[in-house]
Amino acid sequence: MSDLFPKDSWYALGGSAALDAGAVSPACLFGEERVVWRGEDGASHVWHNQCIHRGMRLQYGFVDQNRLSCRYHGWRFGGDGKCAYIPAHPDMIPPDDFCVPAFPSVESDGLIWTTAGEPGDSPPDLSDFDNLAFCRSLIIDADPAGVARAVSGLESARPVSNGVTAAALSTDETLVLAVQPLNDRKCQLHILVSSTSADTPATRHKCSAWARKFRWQVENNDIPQPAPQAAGGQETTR
Amino acid sequence: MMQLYDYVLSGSCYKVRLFLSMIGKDFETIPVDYYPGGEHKTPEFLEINPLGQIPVLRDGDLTLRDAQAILVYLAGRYDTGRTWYPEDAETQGQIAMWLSFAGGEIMNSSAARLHDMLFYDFDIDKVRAAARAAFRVLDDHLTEREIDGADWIVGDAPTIADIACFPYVALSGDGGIPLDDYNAIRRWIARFKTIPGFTIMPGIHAN
Repeated sequence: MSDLFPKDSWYALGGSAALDAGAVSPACLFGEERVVWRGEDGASHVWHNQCIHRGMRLQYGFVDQNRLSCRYHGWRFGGDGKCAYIPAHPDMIPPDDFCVPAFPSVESDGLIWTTAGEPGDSPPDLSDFDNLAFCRSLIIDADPAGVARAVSGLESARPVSNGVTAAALSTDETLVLAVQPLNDRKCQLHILVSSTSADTPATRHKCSAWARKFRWQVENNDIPQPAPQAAGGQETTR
Repeated sequence: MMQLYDYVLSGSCYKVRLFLSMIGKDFETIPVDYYPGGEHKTPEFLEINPLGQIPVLRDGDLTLRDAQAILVYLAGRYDTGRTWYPEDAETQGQIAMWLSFAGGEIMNSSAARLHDMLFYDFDIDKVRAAARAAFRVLDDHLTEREIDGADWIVGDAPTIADIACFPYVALSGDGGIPLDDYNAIRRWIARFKTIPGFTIMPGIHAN
């Protein structure tokens, strides 16, 4: 998995529109659990999915204005990950090192991106794709490398960045597919479409139906084989 | 007053408690010692429901078994606004489809929970896999409903289809089936909890 999916790269976790203000959601990258949440101020956060107090998964917590509250004992963590309030000790100012490890959360092109490493620059720039819209995400119960190979075998497939590939859905519709490696057996595919009708329900339904079929093919090892490529230079001149 | 033969940990009884709360209808519960007593399999209870299942609703002279059937009756009888089970055939057909799914495929999640919580002898891998397959169908449906700007399983407002599907989806963690893979289902659960009259049960907290 590491060649196709380097840790020092950006990966999409989901659509920005799929995470409302006040929403808390579990996520996963390379088997590492994350919690993704959005404050009432609109800022999204990607954190380690574990309360520093008793280890409760923070995905079961709730958003209190711009803080994430653990479901277990109500510890409140501000957007910077620092504990801001402990209900059992209301007068205590929590020490600075009471802090949930936070990861980057960058939103661009309709997606929430994060990383498990040190990617340096910003997430892939998809601005070359005109009229780009997020369609849906879907989980595929298959090894991410296999899914990446199936994606790269799609019609007119071309790599955009690590885990991101463009492919033709039709002559005037281009799919932009971002693979999120969850673990060795599972990944999530985030589907965007570039077309003049990208933001219409009809186009999004078409992409969703395409995605369900693609998921079936991958999970059932029924991958359409790419057309045979012309043999390499040496062989053709032999 | 209406009487519900009830067990507090039963997701099926919860369907009825939820709906009665949402339509603001008073009722009495008659507790059934489902576990460990197995009261639902006694000759006395089999007189009430020969299938030996809960819930059972008594309303006047009427005795009804099956949570889905009870929801249809209660909506038809007491929902004066006719929003929970609208009267047009197309909507009713769609609702019936999801009621059957709730009493069928989704019950694999109930079986997983009975295995894990009450030690029932089920093939746990098999029932969990079947529950996950059902959840994927519901998750895809809700994802595509969201594309149409719709929040609920059928139509523009919550119906008894949402009520019937909710408990054993929301309780799936009890049977060792996390909902992490079902993004649209989790969003639907969060919306469901905002319906006026929503009530909790052990394993399901308010938002």
